[in-house]
Amino acid sequence: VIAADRPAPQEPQKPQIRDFGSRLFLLHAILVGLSLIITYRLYDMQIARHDHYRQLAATGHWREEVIPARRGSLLDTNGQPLAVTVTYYSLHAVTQHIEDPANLARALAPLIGESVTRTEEKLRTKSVPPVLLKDGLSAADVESIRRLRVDALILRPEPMRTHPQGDLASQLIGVVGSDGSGLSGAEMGFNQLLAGTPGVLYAERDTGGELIALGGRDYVPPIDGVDVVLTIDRYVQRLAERELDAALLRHQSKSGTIIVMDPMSGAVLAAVSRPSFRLTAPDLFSPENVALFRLPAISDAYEPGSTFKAITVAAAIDAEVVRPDTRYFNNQAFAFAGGVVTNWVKRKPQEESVQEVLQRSSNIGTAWVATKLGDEAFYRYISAFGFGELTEIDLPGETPGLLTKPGQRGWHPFNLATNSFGQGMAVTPIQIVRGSAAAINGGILVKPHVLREVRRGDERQALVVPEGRRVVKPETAQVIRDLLVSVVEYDELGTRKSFVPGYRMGAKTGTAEIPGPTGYGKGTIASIVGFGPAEAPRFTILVKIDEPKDSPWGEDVAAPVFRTIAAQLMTYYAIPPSTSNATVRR
Amino acid sequence: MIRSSAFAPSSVLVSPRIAWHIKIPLNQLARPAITFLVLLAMASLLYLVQASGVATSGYDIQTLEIQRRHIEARNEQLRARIAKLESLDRIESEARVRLQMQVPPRVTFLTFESGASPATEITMRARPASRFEQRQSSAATTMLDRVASLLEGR
Repeated sequence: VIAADRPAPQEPQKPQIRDFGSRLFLLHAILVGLSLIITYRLYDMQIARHDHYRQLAATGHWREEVIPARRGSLLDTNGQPLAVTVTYYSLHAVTQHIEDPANLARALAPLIGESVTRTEEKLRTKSVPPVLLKDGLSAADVESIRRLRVDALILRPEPMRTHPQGDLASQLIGVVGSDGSGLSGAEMGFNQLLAGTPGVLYAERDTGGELIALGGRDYVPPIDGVDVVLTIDRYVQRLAERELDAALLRHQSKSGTIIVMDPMSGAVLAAVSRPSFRLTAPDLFSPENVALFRLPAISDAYEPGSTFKAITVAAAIDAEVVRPDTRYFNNQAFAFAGGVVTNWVKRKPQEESVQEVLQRSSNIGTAWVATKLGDEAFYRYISAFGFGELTEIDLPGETPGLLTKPGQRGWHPFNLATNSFGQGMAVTPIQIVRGSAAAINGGILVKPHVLREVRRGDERQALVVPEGRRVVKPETAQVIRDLLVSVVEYDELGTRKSFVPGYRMGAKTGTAEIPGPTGYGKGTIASIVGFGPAEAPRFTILVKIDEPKDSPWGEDVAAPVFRTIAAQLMTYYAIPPSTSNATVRR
Repeated sequence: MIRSSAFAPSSVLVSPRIAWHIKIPLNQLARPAITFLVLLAMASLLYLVQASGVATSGYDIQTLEIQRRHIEARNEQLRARIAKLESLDRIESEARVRLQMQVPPRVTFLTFESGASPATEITMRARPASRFEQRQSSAATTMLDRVASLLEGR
């Protein structure tokens, strides 16, 4: 029993090294297996599918940002800014992160010039995208807002086109769309120069979208647009606008145009048409307003009337079929090609010289001059003067007018007579200014233009104006110049409404009926084209007033405007009077 | 795992299966390893300090860039404001309303012979000034001179 109760002697434990080693081996195997898997994955990611994962990483971290180029400025001929891009700021709020909208509105409203109620209302808007609170904020406003230290407020820089001269030259300058590209006027015509080339920043960014300082980046800097200097002189432009507005008011007219151009170079100094739009607050969504964006000075054709007579006489004198003293008998009517030409003002039958034809603005005399010239030479000359074709002025929206020539549909031999005094044809204001300039500037048809030079910093590049083509001989131009001076100084009625005291000026008025679908209506277009001073013309001016109510005549309506503008330009350009030591009364 | 007595006093943990392969004394292994680790740590630390410095500089550059853009925007706004103040509407308004100026009814041109080339001088005569204008004239002239010198000096 004793022996049976005694516990059996324990066998000495075998060392467990082998079992332990087996487990360790297993662990090693697992680790090696895992290492192999990882190695395979690394191989797969780094080598086999390298491009795929590279693309994935690039999509996640690398982002391309277009850096907009700064739009160049539009400057007047003296370097005064007409349209400039200024960076303002817009303020947005992440409304979800605002805990106390009322308190924030009270602090913010005075800084952004809004009412507390309106600001609080915006701050309480439930919106995932940030809510716009105010745009057009200045740098000073921004500093005040930043001092509030509110993370939920976002300030974004936004370039805006501003016009320091107000609404001056609105149609000529034109408007810019929300994408920053020009939609009309010089903004559109010189868009390529002004817009520049945007840059690109392709860079690694963190989760917040901020650039990683040590991250890679590929940066192509933007090329800013150049500053465009126009030939427009803001003083002359303002003078033209002021006088046009006053004339329209005085004669109860709704529309009109004034162009001032250097007859020697073709540089347009001013171009204004009414009605126009407000450049400082253009409405891009109203069709009526958008219709005002075009520039009638280059786009709207009209019958030039008697202002065209100078062209006819210039052609005839150049062709040597008449001279200023050539006379004909004015028999109160001129029958030609089945039609009869009469004058507005009836005079007793008498002899008239070509000079008197211009002075008295005789339709009969001009038609007679044209018949002396013949239709082939007449249309050759007026085509050479640029009528019926684009002047190729560097502004968008130009039209070629309307000129029917022999052999073309709708032309009748009687057209020679009516066309000679500016009826039965349509010209744009810029065409008549260019043609009239060629008749007095030595006989060269210049190219009208508004671009003077481009600037980038201190670097300047002036526009090379192409030489115009010769239309008439220099001697002819001198004769026409003297004839038009005699027109201004002609004192049959004792009015001389385009006469500028102290100066020798040349001009020709026009009174044209307005054609409609059923013939000519009751209204007229009163106009004048003139130049000064006669010794060395510095400017050609067209004044055109549509449908004046008080008087239909160019001499009554347009001539006084011409005189006022010409007199002011003489002072502005410091042009001494034709007679020395003269006192010029305004 | 066992601690191999063969490598006492310093020892290394090795598998019993591979323990018998190791013949290198620990001292000889440890010294270069520790040196390597220290160098690696120092290099890493240096890299970290440098990277941190570059990152800080990078963010500083970004902050300065934002400030630069802000100052440029402010300059643009100031230039636009100057241009508005120099606009003809504003100048005429100042001249007519504040300085009580009027368009001269007469302009007299006096031509002088100066040496070989004739020079032309323009003199403008205003209409006779009213009492108020006479009182204001000297102050107005001084004001105009100041405005002119300010504009020329800009």
